Amino acid sequence: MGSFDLTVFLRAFRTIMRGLPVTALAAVAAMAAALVLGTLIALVRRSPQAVGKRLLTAYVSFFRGTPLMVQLFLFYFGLPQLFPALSTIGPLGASILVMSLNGSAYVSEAVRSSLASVDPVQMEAALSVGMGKSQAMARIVLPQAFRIAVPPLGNTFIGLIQGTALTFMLGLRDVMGMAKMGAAASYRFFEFYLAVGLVYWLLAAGATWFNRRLEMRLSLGHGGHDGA
Amino acid sequence: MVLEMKGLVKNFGNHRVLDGVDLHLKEGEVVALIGPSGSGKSTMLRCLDFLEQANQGFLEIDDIALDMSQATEREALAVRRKLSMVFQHYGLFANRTVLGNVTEGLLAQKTLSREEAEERGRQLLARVGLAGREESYPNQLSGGQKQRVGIARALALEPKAVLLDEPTSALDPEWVGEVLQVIRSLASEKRSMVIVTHEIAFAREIANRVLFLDEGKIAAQGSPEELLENPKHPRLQAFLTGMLGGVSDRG
Repeated sequence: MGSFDLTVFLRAFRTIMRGLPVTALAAVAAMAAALVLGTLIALVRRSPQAVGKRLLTAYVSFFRGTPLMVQLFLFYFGLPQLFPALSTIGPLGASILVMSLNGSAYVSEAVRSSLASVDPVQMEAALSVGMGKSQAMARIVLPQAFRIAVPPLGNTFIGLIQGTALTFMLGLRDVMGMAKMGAAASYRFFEFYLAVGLVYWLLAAGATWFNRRLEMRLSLGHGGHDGA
Repeated sequence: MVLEMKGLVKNFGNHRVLDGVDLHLKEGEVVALIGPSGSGKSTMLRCLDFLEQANQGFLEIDDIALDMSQATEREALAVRRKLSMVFQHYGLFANRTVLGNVTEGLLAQKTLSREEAEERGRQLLARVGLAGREESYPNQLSGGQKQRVGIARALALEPKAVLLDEPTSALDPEWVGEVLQVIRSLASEKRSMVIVTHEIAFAREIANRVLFLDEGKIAAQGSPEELLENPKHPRLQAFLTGMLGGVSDRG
Protein backbone atom coordinates (compact mmCIF):
# COMPACT_ATOMS: atom_id res chain seq x y z
CA MET A 1 0.00 0.00 0.00
CA GLY A 2 1.47 3.32 -1.07
CA SER A 3 0.74 6.71 0.40
CA PHE A 4 -0.85 9.97 -0.68
CA ASP A 5 1.51 12.94 -0.29
CA LEU A 6 -0.34 16.21 0.22
CA THR A 7 2.69 18.42 -0.43
CA VAL A 8 3.34 16.64 -3.74
CA PHE A 9 -0.34 17.06 -4.57
CA LEU A 10 -0.19 20.81 -3.94
CA ARG A 11 3.08 21.11 -5.85
CA ALA A 12 1.47 19.21 -8.71
CA PHE A 13 -1.16 21.98 -8.97
CA ARG A 14 1.54 24.60 -9.34
CA THR A 15 3.24 22.64 -12.10
CA ILE A 16 -0.04 21.92 -13.89
CA MET A 17 -1.21 25.52 -13.76
CA ARG A 18 1.72 26.49 -15.96
CA GLY A 19 -0.08 24.64 -18.73
CA LEU A 20 -3.31 26.54 -18.17
CA PRO A 21 -2.65 29.37 -20.66
CA VAL A 22 -2.17 26.85 -23.48
CA THR A 23 -5.28 24.89 -22.53
CA ALA A 24 -7.38 28.05 -22.19
CA LEU A 25 -6.07 29.54 -25.43
CA ALA A 26 -6.70 26.32 -27.38
CA ALA A 27 -10.23 25.87 -26.00
CA VAL A 28 -11.35 29.50 -26.36
CA ALA A 29 -9.80 30.04 -29.80
CA ALA A 30 -11.25 26.76 -31.08
CA MET A 31 -14.70 27.61 -29.68
CA ALA A 32 -14.68 31.08 -31.23
CA ALA A 33 -13.69 29.73 -34.63
CA ALA A 34 -16.16 26.84 -34.30
CA LEU A 35 -18.99 29.29 -33.58
CA VAL A 36 -18.34 31.30 -36.72
CA LEU A 37 -17.67 28.31 -38.96
CA GLY A 38 -20.49 26.19 -37.53
CA THR A 39 -23.03 28.99 -37.95
CA LEU A 40 -21.98 29.46 -41.57
CA ILE A 41 -22.27 25.72 -42.18
CA ALA A 42 -25.76 25.67 -40.66
CA LEU A 43 -26.85 28.62 -42.82
CA VAL A 44 -25.47 27.13 -46.02
CA ARG A 45 -27.04 23.76 -45.29
CA ARG A 46 -30.40 25.50 -44.86
CA SER A 47 -30.36 27.54 -48.03
CA PRO A 48 -32.17 25.86 -50.90
CA GLN A 49 -29.70 26.64 -53.69
CA ALA A 50 -26.54 25.56 -51.90
CA VAL A 51 -24.24 23.50 -54.09
CA GLY A 52 -21.88 22.33 -51.37
CA LYS A 53 -24.66 20.92 -49.20
CA ARG A 54 -23.70 17.25 -49.68
CA LEU A 55 -20.08 18.04 -49.03
CA LEU A 56 -20.98 19.83 -45.81
CA THR A 57 -23.18 16.95 -44.70
CA ALA A 58 -20.21 14.63 -45.19
CA TYR A 59 -17.94 17.10 -43.36
CA VAL A 60 -20.23 17.26 -40.33
CA SER A 61 -20.69 13.51 -40.34
CA PHE A 62 -16.92 12.92 -40.49
CA PHE A 63 -16.02 15.28 -37.65
CA ARG A 64 -18.80 13.98 -35.42
CA GLY A 65 -18.22 10.39 -36.36
CA THR A 66 -14.47 10.02 -35.75
CA PRO A 67 -12.50 10.48 -32.51
CA LEU A 68 -10.84 13.84 -32.01
CA MET A 69 -7.58 11.97 -31.42
CA VAL A 70 -7.75 10.40 -34.87
CA GLN A 71 -8.45 13.81 -36.40
CA LEU A 72 -5.46 15.34 -34.59
CA PHE A 73 -3.13 12.56 -35.66
CA LEU A 74 -4.42 12.53 -39.21
CA PHE A 75 -3.90 16.24 -39.57
CA TYR A 76 -0.65 16.67 -37.65
CA PHE A 77 1.20 13.47 -38.53
CA GLY A 78 -0.66 12.22 -41.59
CA LEU A 79 -1.37 15.10 -43.92
CA PRO A 80 2.19 16.55 -44.01
CA GLN A 81 3.18 13.28 -45.69
CA LEU A 82 1.03 14.33 -48.67
CA PHE A 83 1.47 18.08 -48.34
CA PRO A 84 4.90 18.85 -46.86
CA ALA A 85 3.97 22.53 -46.54
CA LEU A 86 1.63 21.58 -43.70
CA SER A 87 4.54 20.49 -41.52
CA THR A 88 5.31 24.16 -40.88
CA ILE A 89 2.19 24.40 -38.70
CA GLY A 90 3.21 23.94 -35.09
CA PRO A 91 1.42 21.73 -32.57
CA LEU A 92 -0.59 24.61 -31.05
CA GLY A 93 -1.77 25.85 -34.44
CA ALA A 94 -2.64 22.34 -35.57
CA SER A 95 -4.52 21.62 -32.33
CA ILE A 96 -6.56 24.81 -32.56
CA LEU A 97 -7.28 24.22 -36.24
CA VAL A 98 -8.43 20.62 -35.81
CA MET A 99 -10.49 21.43 -32.71
CA SER A 100 -12.10 24.34 -34.57
CA LEU A 101 -13.15 22.03 -37.37
CA ASN A 102 -14.34 19.40 -34.91
CA GLY A 103 -16.25 21.97 -32.85
CA SER A 104 -17.80 23.54 -35.95
CA ALA A 105 -19.49 20.23 -36.79
CA TYR A 106 -21.18 20.16 -33.38
CA VAL A 107 -21.98 23.88 -33.45
CA SER A 108 -23.56 23.55 -36.89
CA GLU A 109 -25.89 20.82 -35.64
CA ALA A 110 -26.89 22.86 -32.59
CA VAL A 111 -27.52 25.98 -34.67
CA ARG A 112 -29.33 24.02 -37.35
CA SER A 113 -31.85 22.51 -34.95
CA SER A 114 -32.37 25.80 -33.14
CA LEU A 115 -32.90 27.63 -36.43
CA ALA A 116 -35.55 25.07 -37.29
CA SER A 117 -37.31 25.74 -34.01
CA VAL A 118 -37.71 29.49 -34.62
CA ASP A 119 -41.25 30.13 -35.81
CA PRO A 120 -41.17 30.74 -39.60
CA VAL A 121 -43.48 33.73 -39.16
CA GLN A 122 -40.52 35.55 -37.56
CA MET A 123 -38.73 35.49 -40.90
CA GLU A 124 -41.90 36.49 -42.76
CA ALA A 125 -42.56 39.39 -40.43
CA ALA A 126 -38.98 40.59 -40.85
CA LEU A 127 -39.32 40.45 -44.63
CA SER A 128 -42.65 42.24 -44.43
CA VAL A 129 -41.12 45.23 -42.62
CA GLY A 130 -38.72 45.62 -45.50
CA MET A 131 -35.65 43.64 -44.53
CA GLY A 132 -33.63 41.60 -46.97
CA LYS A 133 -33.24 37.90 -46.24
CA SER A 134 -29.76 38.11 -44.74
CA GLN A 135 -30.74 41.16 -42.70
CA ALA A 136 -33.78 39.31 -41.36
CA MET A 137 -31.56 36.36 -40.52
CA ALA A 138 -29.00 38.53 -38.72
CA ARG A 139 -31.41 40.81 -36.83
CA ILE A 140 -34.33 38.55 -36.01
CA VAL A 141 -33.90 34.83 -36.65
CA LEU A 142 -30.29 34.11 -35.62
CA PRO A 143 -30.49 35.94 -32.26
CA GLN A 144 -33.53 33.83 -31.37
CA ALA A 145 -31.82 30.68 -32.59
CA PHE A 146 -28.72 31.38 -30.49
CA ARG A 147 -30.83 31.81 -27.40
CA ILE A 148 -32.19 28.31 -27.95
CA ALA A 149 -28.73 26.99 -28.84
CA VAL A 150 -26.94 28.21 -25.70
CA PRO A 151 -27.28 24.95 -23.71
CA PRO A 152 -26.00 22.64 -26.49
CA LEU A 153 -23.26 25.15 -27.36
CA GLY A 154 -22.16 25.04 -23.72
CA ASN A 155 -21.80 21.28 -24.06
CA THR A 156 -19.69 21.75 -27.17
CA PHE A 157 -17.43 24.16 -25.28
CA ILE A 158 -16.97 21.72 -22.40
CA GLY A 159 -16.23 19.00 -24.97
CA LEU A 160 -13.53 21.20 -26.51
CA ILE A 161 -11.97 21.97 -23.11
CA GLN A 162 -11.70 18.25 -22.46
CA GLY A 163 -10.55 17.69 -26.02
CA THR A 164 -7.51 19.86 -25.35
CA ALA A 165 -6.27 17.06 -23.08
CA LEU A 166 -5.38 15.12 -26.21
CA THR A 167 -3.13 17.82 -27.59
CA PHE A 168 -0.24 16.85 -25.31
CA MET A 169 0.18 13.96 -27.71
CA LEU A 170 1.28 16.46 -30.30
CA GLY A 171 3.83 17.67 -27.76
CA LEU A 172 1.86 20.60 -26.41
CA ARG A 173 2.54 21.81 -22.86
CA ASP A 174 -1.06 22.16 -21.86
CA VAL A 175 -2.29 21.17 -18.38
CA MET A 176 -2.38 17.50 -19.39
CA GLY A 177 1.11 17.76 -20.85
CA MET A 178 2.43 19.32 -17.64
CA ALA A 179 0.71 16.65 -15.53
CA LYS A 180 2.18 13.87 -17.65
CA MET A 181 5.69 15.28 -17.41
CA GLY A 182 5.39 16.00 -13.71
CA ALA A 183 4.12 12.49 -13.02
CA ALA A 184 6.82 10.85 -15.08
CA ALA A 185 9.56 12.86 -13.42
CA SER A 186 8.38 12.22 -9.83
CA TYR A 187 6.65 8.84 -10.18
CA ARG A 188 3.75 10.42 -8.24
CA PHE A 189 1.09 9.45 -10.75
CA PHE A 190 -1.88 9.58 -8.39
CA GLU A 191 -1.18 13.09 -7.09
CA PHE A 192 -0.57 14.57 -10.55
CA TYR A 193 -3.49 12.91 -12.30
CA LEU A 194 -5.88 13.67 -9.45
CA ALA A 195 -4.76 17.31 -9.58
CA VAL A 196 -5.18 17.55 -13.33
CA GLY A 197 -8.59 15.92 -13.05
CA LEU A 198 -9.64 18.57 -10.55
CA VAL A 199 -8.35 21.32 -12.85
CA TYR A 200 -10.49 20.06 -15.74
CA TRP A 201 -13.46 19.67 -13.44
CA LEU A 202 -13.10 23.26 -12.26
CA LEU A 203 -12.81 24.49 -15.84
CA ALA A 204 -15.97 22.61 -16.80
CA ALA A 205 -17.78 23.95 -13.72
CA GLY A 206 -16.70 27.48 -14.66
CA ALA A 207 -17.93 27.00 -18.22
CA THR A 208 -21.24 25.64 -16.94
CA TRP A 209 -21.68 28.60 -14.63
CA PHE A 210 -20.93 31.04 -17.45
CA ASN A 211 -23.37 29.19 -19.68
CA ARG A 212 -26.16 29.38 -17.10
CA ARG A 213 -25.56 33.10 -16.67
CA LEU A 214 -25.75 33.60 -20.41
CA GLU A 215 -28.93 31.54 -20.62
CA MET A 216 -30.55 33.62 -17.88
CA ARG A 217 -29.47 36.89 -19.39
CA LEU A 218 -30.78 35.98 -22.82
CA SER A 219 -34.13 34.77 -21.56
CA LEU A 220 -34.78 37.93 -19.55
CA GLY A 221 -37.99 39.49 -20.72
CA HIS A 222 -38.77 37.10 -23.49
CA GLY A 223 -39.16 33.52 -22.45
CA GLY A 224 -40.40 31.39 -25.29
CA HIS A 225 -42.23 31.84 -28.50
CA ASP A 226 -44.53 34.53 -29.65
CA GLY A 227 -47.52 32.32 -30.09
CA ALA A 228 -51.27 32.71 -30.06
CA MET B 1 -54.81 53.89 -57.83
CA VAL B 2 -52.64 52.49 -55.03
CA LEU B 3 -52.21 49.06 -56.51
CA GLU B 4 -53.50 46.95 -59.32
CA MET B 5 -53.04 43.22 -59.62
CA LYS B 6 -54.17 41.14 -62.56
CA GLY B 7 -54.53 37.43 -63.21
CA LEU B 8 -52.97 36.10 -60.03
CA VAL B 9 -52.49 32.33 -60.19
CA LYS B 10 -51.00 30.30 -57.37
CA ASN B 11 -50.57 26.54 -57.20
CA PHE B 12 -49.56 24.45 -54.25
CA GLY B 13 -48.32 21.31 -55.96
CA ASN B 14 -51.12 20.18 -58.25
CA HIS B 15 -53.71 22.16 -56.39
CA ARG B 16 -54.64 25.52 -57.91
CA VAL B 17 -55.37 27.77 -54.93
CA LEU B 18 -55.84 30.99 -56.87
CA ASP B 19 -57.10 30.89 -60.42
CA GLY B 20 -56.81 34.29 -62.06
CA VAL B 21 -57.65 36.83 -59.38
CA ASP B 22 -57.74 40.58 -60.04
CA LEU B 23 -57.54 43.22 -57.36
CA HIS B 24 -57.33 46.97 -57.46
CA LEU B 25 -57.20 49.38 -54.60
CA LYS B 26 -57.86 53.08 -54.79
CA GLU B 27 -56.31 55.68 -52.52
CA GLY B 28 -58.10 55.60 -49.17
CA GLU B 29 -60.17 52.59 -50.06
CA VAL B 30 -60.87 49.64 -47.77
CA VAL B 31 -61.38 46.32 -49.52
CA ALA B 32 -62.61 43.35 -47.51
CA LEU B 33 -61.89 39.83 -48.72
CA ILE B 34 -64.35 37.24 -47.50
CA GLY B 35 -64.90 33.62 -48.38
CA PRO B 36 -64.79 30.09 -47.03
CA SER B 37 -61.65 28.61 -45.50
CA GLY B 38 -59.30 27.38 -48.15
CA SER B 39 -60.68 29.75 -50.75
CA GLY B 40 -57.27 31.39 -51.04
CA LYS B 41 -57.84 34.69 -49.22
CA SER B 42 -54.70 34.59 -47.13
CA THR B 43 -52.66 33.18 -50.00
CA MET B 44 -53.71 36.16 -52.07
CA LEU B 45 -52.37 38.63 -49.50
CA ARG B 46 -49.22 36.59 -49.07
CA CYS B 47 -48.62 36.64 -52.83
CA LEU B 48 -49.13 40.41 -52.84
CA ASP B 49 -46.46 40.81 -50.18
CA PHE B 50 -44.24 38.21 -51.91
CA LEU B 51 -44.23 35.89 -48.93
CA GLU B 52 -45.38 33.38 -51.53
CA GLN B 53 -44.19 33.51 -55.10
CA ALA B 54 -47.11 33.64 -57.54
CA ASN B 55 -47.18 31.30 -60.54
CA GLN B 56 -48.73 34.00 -62.72
CA GLY B 57 -49.85 37.54 -62.23
CA PHE B 58 -49.05 41.12 -62.95
CA LEU B 59 -48.72 43.81 -60.32
CA GLU B 60 -48.52 47.56 -60.43
CA ILE B 61 -47.87 49.44 -57.25
CA ASP B 62 -46.71 53.04 -57.09
CA ASP B 63 -43.82 53.28 -59.56
CA ILE B 64 -43.29 49.52 -59.81
CA ALA B 65 -44.79 47.28 -62.46
CA LEU B 66 -43.76 43.66 -62.61
CA ASP B 67 -44.57 40.11 -63.56
CA MET B 68 -45.18 38.48 -60.18
CA SER B 69 -43.95 35.06 -61.25
CA GLN B 70 -40.60 36.46 -62.44
CA ALA B 71 -39.88 38.86 -59.60
CA THR B 72 -36.34 38.83 -58.30
CA GLU B 73 -35.55 39.00 -54.60
CA ARG B 74 -34.71 42.68 -55.07
CA GLU B 75 -38.05 43.44 -56.73
CA ALA B 76 -39.92 41.51 -54.06
CA LEU B 77 -38.16 43.62 -51.43
CA ALA B 78 -39.10 46.83 -53.24
CA VAL B 79 -42.78 45.80 -53.27
CA ARG B 80 -42.71 44.77 -49.61
CA ARG B 81 -41.34 48.18 -48.71
CA LYS B 82 -44.46 49.76 -50.14
CA LEU B 83 -46.81 47.48 -48.22
CA SER B 84 -47.17 46.34 -44.63
CA MET B 85 -48.66 43.18 -43.34
CA VAL B 86 -50.60 42.45 -40.17
CA PHE B 87 -50.40 38.73 -39.46
CA GLN B 88 -53.07 36.47 -38.08
CA HIS B 89 -50.65 35.11 -35.49
CA TYR B 90 -49.11 38.57 -34.90
CA GLY B 91 -45.57 37.58 -35.85
CA LEU B 92 -44.13 40.01 -33.33
CA PHE B 93 -40.35 39.83 -33.04
CA ALA B 94 -39.78 37.79 -29.87
CA ASN B 95 -36.31 39.29 -29.38
CA ARG B 96 -37.50 42.89 -29.45
CA THR B 97 -39.47 45.00 -27.01
CA VAL B 98 -42.84 46.41 -27.99
CA LEU B 99 -41.18 49.66 -29.03
CA GLY B 100 -38.42 47.70 -30.77
CA ASN B 101 -41.02 45.83 -32.79
CA VAL B 102 -42.49 49.07 -34.07
CA THR B 103 -39.13 50.70 -34.86
CA GLU B 104 -37.39 47.58 -36.23
CA GLY B 105 -38.33 48.11 -39.87
CA LEU B 106 -37.39 51.79 -39.76
CA LEU B 107 -34.02 51.03 -38.20
CA ALA B 108 -33.27 48.11 -40.50
CA GLN B 109 -34.07 50.20 -43.54
CA LYS B 110 -32.30 53.21 -42.00
CA THR B 111 -35.32 55.34 -42.87
CA LEU B 112 -34.98 57.35 -39.69
CA SER B 113 -32.46 57.91 -36.93
CA ARG B 114 -33.04 55.96 -33.73
CA GLU B 115 -34.45 59.03 -31.95
CA GLU B 116 -36.87 59.80 -34.77
CA ALA B 117 -37.91 56.17 -35.10
CA GLU B 118 -38.56 55.90 -31.37
CA GLU B 119 -40.50 59.13 -31.41
CA ARG B 120 -42.71 57.79 -34.18
CA GLY B 121 -42.95 54.42 -32.41
CA ARG B 122 -44.14 55.99 -29.17
CA GLN B 123 -46.75 58.05 -30.99
CA LEU B 124 -48.10 55.01 -32.79
CA LEU B 125 -48.17 52.92 -29.63
CA ALA B 126 -50.11 55.69 -27.92
CA ARG B 127 -52.51 55.68 -30.86
CA VAL B 128 -53.26 51.99 -30.45
CA GLY B 129 -53.65 52.46 -26.69
CA LEU B 130 -50.34 50.96 -25.60
CA ALA B 131 -48.52 53.95 -24.15
CA GLY B 132 -46.54 52.72 -21.16
CA ARG B 133 -45.94 49.24 -22.57
CA GLU B 134 -42.97 50.25 -24.75
CA GLU B 135 -40.44 48.23 -22.80
CA SER B 136 -42.53 45.07 -22.47
CA TYR B 137 -41.74 42.00 -24.52
CA PRO B 138 -44.37 40.40 -26.76
CA ASN B 139 -44.83 37.36 -24.52
CA GLN B 140 -45.93 39.66 -21.70
CA LEU B 141 -48.91 40.94 -23.69
CA SER B 142 -52.45 39.69 -24.24
CA GLY B 143 -53.49 38.65 -27.72
CA GLY B 144 -55.33 41.90 -28.29
CA GLN B 145 -52.33 43.93 -27.20
CA LYS B 146 -50.05 41.89 -29.45
CA GLN B 147 -52.22 42.53 -32.46
CA ARG B 148 -52.35 46.24 -31.69
CA VAL B 149 -48.54 46.25 -31.65
CA GLY B 150 -48.70 44.41 -34.97
CA ILE B 151 -50.85 47.20 -36.39
CA ALA B 152 -48.57 49.93 -34.99
CA ARG B 153 -45.60 48.13 -36.54
CA ALA B 154 -47.35 48.05 -39.91
CA LEU B 155 -48.19 51.77 -39.72
CA ALA B 156 -44.66 52.81 -38.74
CA LEU B 157 -43.43 52.20 -42.25
CA GLU B 158 -46.03 54.56 -43.74
CA PRO B 159 -47.02 52.02 -46.37
CA LYS B 160 -49.04 52.70 -49.50
CA ALA B 161 -51.44 50.05 -48.27
CA VAL B 162 -51.86 47.89 -45.18
CA LEU B 163 -52.64 44.21 -45.70
CA LEU B 164 -54.45 42.59 -42.77
CA ASP B 165 -54.58 38.80 -42.79
CA GLU B 166 -57.46 37.73 -40.52
CA PRO B 167 -56.26 40.08 -37.80
CA THR B 168 -58.78 38.89 -35.22
CA SER B 169 -59.05 35.18 -36.03
CA ALA B 170 -56.46 34.06 -33.50
CA LEU B 171 -57.86 36.21 -30.71
CA ASP B 172 -59.94 35.17 -27.77
CA PRO B 173 -63.39 36.78 -28.16
CA GLU B 174 -62.71 39.23 -25.33
CA TRP B 175 -59.89 40.90 -27.30
CA VAL B 176 -61.60 41.13 -30.71
CA GLY B 177 -63.39 44.40 -29.97
CA GLU B 178 -60.30 46.44 -29.11
CA VAL B 179 -58.50 45.34 -32.27
CA LEU B 180 -61.49 46.05 -34.48
CA GLN B 181 -61.71 49.47 -32.86
CA VAL B 182 -58.14 50.27 -33.95
CA ILE B 183 -58.79 49.05 -37.49
CA ARG B 184 -61.99 51.11 -37.58
CA SER B 185 -60.01 54.23 -36.71
CA LEU B 186 -57.60 53.53 -39.57
CA ALA B 187 -60.51 53.19 -41.97
CA SER B 188 -61.98 56.45 -40.78
CA GLU B 189 -58.75 58.29 -41.61
CA LYS B 190 -58.84 56.88 -45.12
CA ARG B 191 -55.95 54.49 -45.07
CA SER B 192 -55.77 52.16 -48.02
CA MET B 193 -56.30 48.65 -46.71
CA VAL B 194 -57.02 45.13 -47.83
CA ILE B 195 -58.46 43.05 -45.02
CA VAL B 196 -59.11 39.34 -45.01
CA THR B 197 -61.76 38.71 -42.41
CA HIS B 198 -64.42 36.38 -41.10
CA GLU B 199 -66.10 39.25 -39.29
CA ILE B 200 -68.87 39.87 -41.81
CA ALA B 201 -70.57 42.57 -39.78
CA PHE B 202 -67.28 44.37 -39.46
CA ALA B 203 -66.57 44.08 -43.18
CA ARG B 204 -69.97 45.59 -43.91
CA GLU B 205 -69.23 48.45 -41.56
CA ILE B 206 -65.76 49.53 -42.70
CA ALA B 207 -65.29 48.27 -46.26
CA ASN B 208 -65.92 50.35 -49.37
CA ARG B 209 -65.90 47.20 -51.42
CA VAL B 210 -66.27 43.52 -50.60
CA LEU B 211 -64.77 40.68 -52.60
CA PHE B 212 -66.16 37.18 -52.21
CA LEU B 213 -63.47 34.65 -53.00
CA ASP B 214 -64.59 31.10 -53.70
CA GLU B 215 -62.52 28.20 -54.99
CA GLY B 216 -59.70 30.45 -56.11
CA LYS B 217 -61.83 32.94 -58.03
CA ILE B 218 -63.59 36.16 -57.20
CA ALA B 219 -67.13 34.91 -57.38
CA ALA B 220 -68.81 38.21 -56.52
CA GLN B 221 -67.86 41.75 -55.62
CA GLY B 222 -69.53 45.03 -54.91
CA SER B 223 -70.42 47.49 -52.22
CA PRO B 224 -71.11 45.96 -48.81
CA GLU B 225 -74.79 46.83 -49.13
CA GLU B 226 -75.39 45.12 -52.44
CA LEU B 227 -73.16 42.16 -51.73
CA LEU B 228 -73.98 41.39 -48.12
CA GLU B 229 -77.55 42.54 -47.68
CA ASN B 230 -78.80 41.29 -50.98
CA PRO B 231 -76.57 38.41 -52.05
CA LYS B 232 -77.46 37.03 -55.48
CA HIS B 233 -74.68 34.52 -55.83
CA PRO B 234 -75.88 31.15 -54.46
CA ARG B 235 -72.49 30.23 -52.96
CA LEU B 236 -72.29 33.62 -51.27
CA GLN B 237 -75.81 33.15 -49.90
CA ALA B 238 -74.83 29.77 -48.51
CA PHE B 239 -71.61 31.21 -47.08
CA LEU B 240 -73.38 34.10 -45.38
CA THR B 241 -76.09 31.86 -43.99
CA GLY B 242 -73.43 29.59 -42.58
CA MET B 243 -71.60 32.51 -41.01
CA LEU B 244 -74.71 34.07 -39.55
CA GLY B 245 -75.79 30.68 -38.30
CA GLY B 246 -72.66 30.77 -36.22
CA VAL B 247 -70.71 28.18 -38.15
CA SER B 248 -67.73 30.46 -38.12
CA ASP B 249 -64.36 28.91 -38.47
CA ARG B 250 -61.14 30.39 -37.37
CA GLY B 251 -58.70 28.88 -39.82
